[in-house]
Order: sequence, then structure tokens, then C-alpha cells
Amino acid sequence: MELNADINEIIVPTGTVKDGDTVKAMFESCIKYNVPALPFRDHEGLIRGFVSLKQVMGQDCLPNYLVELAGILHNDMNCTSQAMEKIHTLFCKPVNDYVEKPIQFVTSDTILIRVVALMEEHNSDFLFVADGQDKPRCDYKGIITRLSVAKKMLQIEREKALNCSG
Amino acid sequence: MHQDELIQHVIFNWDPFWVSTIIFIATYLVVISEKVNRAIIALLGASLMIMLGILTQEAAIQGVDFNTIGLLTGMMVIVAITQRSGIFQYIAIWSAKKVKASPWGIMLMLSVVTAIFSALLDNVTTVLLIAPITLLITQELKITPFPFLFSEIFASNIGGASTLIGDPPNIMIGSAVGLGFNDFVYNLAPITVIVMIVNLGLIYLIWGRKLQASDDTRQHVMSFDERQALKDIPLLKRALFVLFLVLTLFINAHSLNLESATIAMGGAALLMLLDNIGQTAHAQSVNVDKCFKEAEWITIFFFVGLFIVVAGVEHSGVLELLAEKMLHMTGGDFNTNALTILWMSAVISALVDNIPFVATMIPMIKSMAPVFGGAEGLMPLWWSLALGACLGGNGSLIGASANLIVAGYAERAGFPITFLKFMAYAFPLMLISIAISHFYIIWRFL
Repeated sequence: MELNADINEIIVPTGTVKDGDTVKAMFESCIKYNVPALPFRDHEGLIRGFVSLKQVMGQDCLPNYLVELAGILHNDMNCTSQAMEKIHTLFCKPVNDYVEKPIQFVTSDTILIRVVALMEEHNSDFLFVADGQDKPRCDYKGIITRLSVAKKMLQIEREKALNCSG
Repeated sequence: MHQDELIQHVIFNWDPFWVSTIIFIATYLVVISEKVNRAIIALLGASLMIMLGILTQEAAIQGVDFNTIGLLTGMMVIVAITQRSGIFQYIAIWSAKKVKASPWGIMLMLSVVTAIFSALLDNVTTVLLIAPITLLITQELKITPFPFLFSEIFASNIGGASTLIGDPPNIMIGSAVGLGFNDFVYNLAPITVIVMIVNLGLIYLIWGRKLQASDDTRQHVMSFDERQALKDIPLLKRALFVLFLVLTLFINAHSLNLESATIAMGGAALLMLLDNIGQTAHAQSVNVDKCFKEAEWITIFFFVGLFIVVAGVEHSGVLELLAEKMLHMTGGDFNTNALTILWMSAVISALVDNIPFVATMIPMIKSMAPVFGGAEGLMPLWWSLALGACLGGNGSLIGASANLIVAGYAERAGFPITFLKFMAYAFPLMLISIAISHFYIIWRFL
């Protein structure tokens, strides 16, 4: 029996963020769907890129010097409380400032190993799934994360073990 | 001899003098405009010098000063590996705590540390290591970081002027003239110490005396544990051993008959060896690849291209003509020439990249040797060029790479340094530095 390596069952269906949405709304959506990134739709509703928690946090949550000196920071510091204040400002900003391009899509009939290969190639923890030739107007299906890939791998391993014992 | 050979090869029988001048000026203008990456434009200018027949490929290769390239690359690799140990941050935090976190004391200590590091490493690396600590400390003290960053920029360019390896202009001059580490220390370190003290005094009067921090905020700085900055103690020991060895060899290079590039490249190779002993072949490849990637290849290829472009104008007689014009303007007076080079280098280096300027001045000054009694007689001109080009970099935000790096870093961290604000303080202070150097050159060399 051939092992089922298709990705349909591990796609996490999500919404998208749109032009003008705030970072706060984007964070809430990511938490709601339990994903690290979401596709971004422009004012015409076309998918033009994506917004990730990593990019937003890396770009604006912390000043660069705090990242470089992370090893010597301690809990009672003025700079960390200032950084916390910065987060409030960040939440009100539009997501447009954090859109990353280009967005990498795979179609829903892509096999698991190709998904893993593409994640490695793009050094990414997620891939978006969409069907259709025209990327901006595609039929967006959802996102595949490393976690869902791991889940699928375990499932394949279990199926294989069952096949062997059967 | 060169010119006769060259004219036959220039395409369409164009005059090599004008073709090379146009390529040279166009390369300079595009580098100054910063519209295209400087390495790309220098290599493109170099390619045109060869393709249009100004230089043969062999002459172009001969034009590249591989001693400069080797010294730069070797030191870049040594610094890239050493900085991973966290030693520079350790020393910066340690020095801030030594002055009980008093704002002026910290400014003084960080400036001195920056100057010393800049004398032994490259300026850009130094400021990139000191700027984060400065921002962290000033935020803890709740004071503006601008005076601190300003003082460190000045210290890095002053410190860099004091040694052969401190600043690219010195590397180029040292290599072209055959000057060693000790020559620079002996002739330039005394004046850089004086310039540093005067500048720190002026910075104290402008900002230092007004800086205040509460006991509570100072306690925040005192609670930093500098040992946390040390990330890799075994690497630190190896790096310090190699740095010590390299410095010892630099000091004794003349008696050992070693070129500075050989020492730097040898030191880089030894440090990479020590850093990779006991690792698997794959881990070694990854590690060495990482070290090489950290070298500033843009700067290295910029140098390669620039050397060829300058060789083009040198071979076609442009620089000789410029030298003659300069001698004519100064009436052939040696002292006037030396001081003109000092002030001209300072003002030009404050406004444009000093590397192409120094690359152009080197063959020009060399061609003055017959007028001034041979190569030995030119020494005051070399020291004037070195002081003018290195200290002149302090004149504006675009005067030196380190200045731009600090400004860019501070801006990303939310503390922008504007061009005019910097220049309003920097240009007068730079002129004071050059005025001090002016008297030093008269007193010491003329």
C-alpha cells in the first residue's frame, strides 16, 4: 500500500490580512489560527505578499542594540520598559509597513517532501497553499507550518509501522 | 616607454590621456553620488581601463597593491573571529563600571577604548561593537546618546590615524612607501594622542560637563555583569594569543623582513586553524565559510578596482601632470606643499570617501620625488597625507565609513543623527585637529 503523502489534511485554513489592518488585528488573527504568518491582500483584494510575526517583532518590537546585547540584559532595566512602551505604538500601526514579498505558494496537490524541500530552500517555517495560475487572484487554501509537517511525518511513520505489522 | 606602448593599443587611436581622465572622473563622480555600489563602479572603471586599451591586463594586475589587499583581508578575518568571543563588549562594560557609571566618565572611557581598538582593528568594526553598548548604557542612564556617539566617531578616526593598520589610508600609504607599523606609531601616534586629548577637552566643554544621571540609573549600569558578554572563553584565549602574535610581528616586521600582508594573512590562517582544530571536515567548512563571509568584500573589491583605475591615469601621465600643476601652484616650495596636502586632504576627506583620494595622491606624491631630493625627502608629505585623510574623515557624517555606520545604527535604534547637526560640531573640531597637526608637521618634519 502506498503511503499517503498529500498535504490536504495538514493545511491550516486561515483568513488573510488586508490593506489598512492594524498589527494588533494581525496578531489576533495569527493567534486565532495558531499560525506564524498570514497572506496580505491589497485594496483590490489581491494577494500581494504576506505578514509574519517574526518580521513584525524583529523589525519594530526591539531596538537592534537590545538584540545584540541580549546576553547581558537583566529584568530591571529602563531600556526593556521603553521597549514595552514601544509595543503599544506598534499595535496601532498598519500591517502595510511589514509586508514581505514575494509570497511563496504551493498548490494543494503538492506532495509533502516537496513542501519540506521548498521550506528549506526559502529558509522558511511556513508555506502558503493556493490553487490557480494567477497568484494574486488565486484560490487561497491556507498555510502549512513546520508543526503540521511534523504531524504528517509522524502519521506516515505510524501508517508504515501498521503496514509492516499487517 | 609606457605611453608609447599604450597609445598603440588604445581603441580608435583615442588619446589615452583623455580617455583615462574621463573614466577616472566618471568613476569618482559615481562613487561620490552613492547611486551605485562603490565596488561595482570601481570594477567597471577598471574593466574600461583595460577594455579600451589604456592598460594591458598585466599592467592592471601590477597596479593592484596586493600588500594592502592582503593586510585588509587578513585583519578583517582576525577581527571577525575575535569579535565572536565578546571581548570587546566585555571591555566596554568593564570600563563603564570602572568609572562608577558617571556619564562623563563613561564617555571618556568609551572614547579611549574606541580609539585604542581603532588603532589595532578597523574603525568600522570598532564602532559597530561600541555603538550598541553606548545605546544600552545611555538608555539606562536616561541621557541622550548623541554626545557619546559623536565622541566615539571622533575617537575611532583619531585612533585609526595612529597606526599602520588603523585606517585604510594608512594601510595604502604604508604599503606604497614601504613604511612599517613602528614608523606610523613613532611618527603619528604622538600627535594623535594630543589631538585626542584636545578633542576630549572640547567635547567635555560642549557636552560632558552638563551630563548628569541619578544614582538609581547609575545603579542600573553598575548591575551589568560584563562576564555575561563573554560568549566563548576558549576562542577568546586563542584570539588574544593570535592578536598578540600578529602585533609582535608587526612591531618586528622590519628586522624579520616580513611584509604586513604576510603577517595579517598568516595570523588569519593561524586563528582559523586554532578555531577549527578537532572539528569535523563539514563543521570546518561551515566555520571557515562563515569567517570569509564576514570579510568586507565590497571594500576589498573596491580597492582592487580603484587601484586599476588609478594605475590607468598614472600610466597615461595624468597624475604626473597634476603633480606638476600642484608644484607650480605652491611655487615648488616643499613646506607649502606638505601643508597644502594636509589641509586639502582634510577638507576633501571630510566631504568624500578618503580611499579614492589617497589612492590618487600616492602616485602623485611619488612623482614629486625628483623635485624634492628623492623618495626619502618625501616623508613629511606622506605624514601630511595620512593625518589629513584620516582626521579629515571626522569633518562630516559622510567623511568616513565609521561615521555612516554609527549614524545608520543609531537611526535604526530610534536615535537619528542628522547630517547638519553632526557637521555643525564636527567640522570646526576637525579643523582644530588639522590646525594642531599643522604645527606638529612644521615642528617635527619641516
